Amino acid sequence: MKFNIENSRQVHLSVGLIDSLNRCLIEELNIYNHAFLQLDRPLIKSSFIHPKTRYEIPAIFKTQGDIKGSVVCLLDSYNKHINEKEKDFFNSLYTESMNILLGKIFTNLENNFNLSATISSPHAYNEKEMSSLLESHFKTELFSVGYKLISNGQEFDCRLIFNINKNKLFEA
Amino acid sequence: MEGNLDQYKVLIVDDSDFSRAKISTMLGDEGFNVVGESSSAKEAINFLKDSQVHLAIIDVVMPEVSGIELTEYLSENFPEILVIMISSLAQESIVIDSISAGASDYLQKPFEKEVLITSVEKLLSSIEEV
Repeated sequence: MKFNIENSRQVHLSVGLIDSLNRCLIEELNIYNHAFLQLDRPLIKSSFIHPKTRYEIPAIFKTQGDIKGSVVCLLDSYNKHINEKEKDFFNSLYTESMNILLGKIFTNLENNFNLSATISSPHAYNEKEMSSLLESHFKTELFSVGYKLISNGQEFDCRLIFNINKNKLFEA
Repeated sequence: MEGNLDQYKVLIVDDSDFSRAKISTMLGDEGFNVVGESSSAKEAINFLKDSQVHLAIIDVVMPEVSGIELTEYLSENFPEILVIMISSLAQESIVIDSISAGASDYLQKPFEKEVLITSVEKLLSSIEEV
C-alpha cells in the first residue's frame, strides 16, 4: 500500500487545529440578556454531517488569515414557535449570537495559540454554497459542535460545522 | 447621564439589526440622542451628507466596506466625529488597526450596558471640555 504523505500531513494539521479550537470553545454566553448560548456537545469531532433540513436556518461565515475555510451555523427550528412578526428580529438575534460566539472563539485562538484569523459578515442563504460545502465532506474533514440557543423561553439546537484548515501561506 | 450630553448626536453603524436595536435602546434609555442607524458604511456616509453627528459607534466587520475603512474615511473627511469601534473579535492587531484608523475606544461584543455608557459619556464629555 502506498503511503500518501500529503494526506497524512493534511490530517495531522486538521487534528492539531481542531484540538486548539476545542480548547477555545466558550461554555456559556449571555447575548445582551436577550439570548443565552450554552455548549451542548463539548467535543468537536469528525462525524457524519447529515444534510441540512428545511427546518434548519443557516448562517455562513468565511474565515480569513491563518485559518481558511468557512463555518456553517444551523439552527433547528422544528416544532418551535416563532411569531411571524418577530421572525426577522429572531433571525437577526440568532445570526448575531453566532457572530459573537465565533468572534470570541477566534479571539481565544489567537490569544492562546497565536493563530490569527477573522470571520466575515454572515452570508445570506445560498443553496449552491451549502451543497458544495456538504459535498466537500468527502474531500476534507468536517468537524461540528453543538450549542443550545435559549431565547424567549425556548431552546433551539444549533450545529456549528467547521470546514477549516491552516492557511499554508502562514505555516512555518 | 452626566451634564448636557443629550445635545450631542450619536450614529450607530452595524450590519446586525439586532445589535443596532440593542445599542440604540441602551443609549436611549439613558437619555442619549441617537439620531441615526446605518446597516453599512455606504448608508452611514450618505447619512452624514445631511446630518450632523458627534459620535459614531461602528462595527468592525461589515460587508463591502469594513468598519476600519469607514473610520479611516471619517478621520479624513469628518475629523470632528468621535468613533467607538465594536466587534465580537478582539485580537490585538484589530484593536491596534482600529485605534490607528482613528477610533477613540474599542468594545468587544457582547458588552454590558454600563461599559457602553461609560465609554460614550467619557468621549462626549471630552467635547464639552474643548
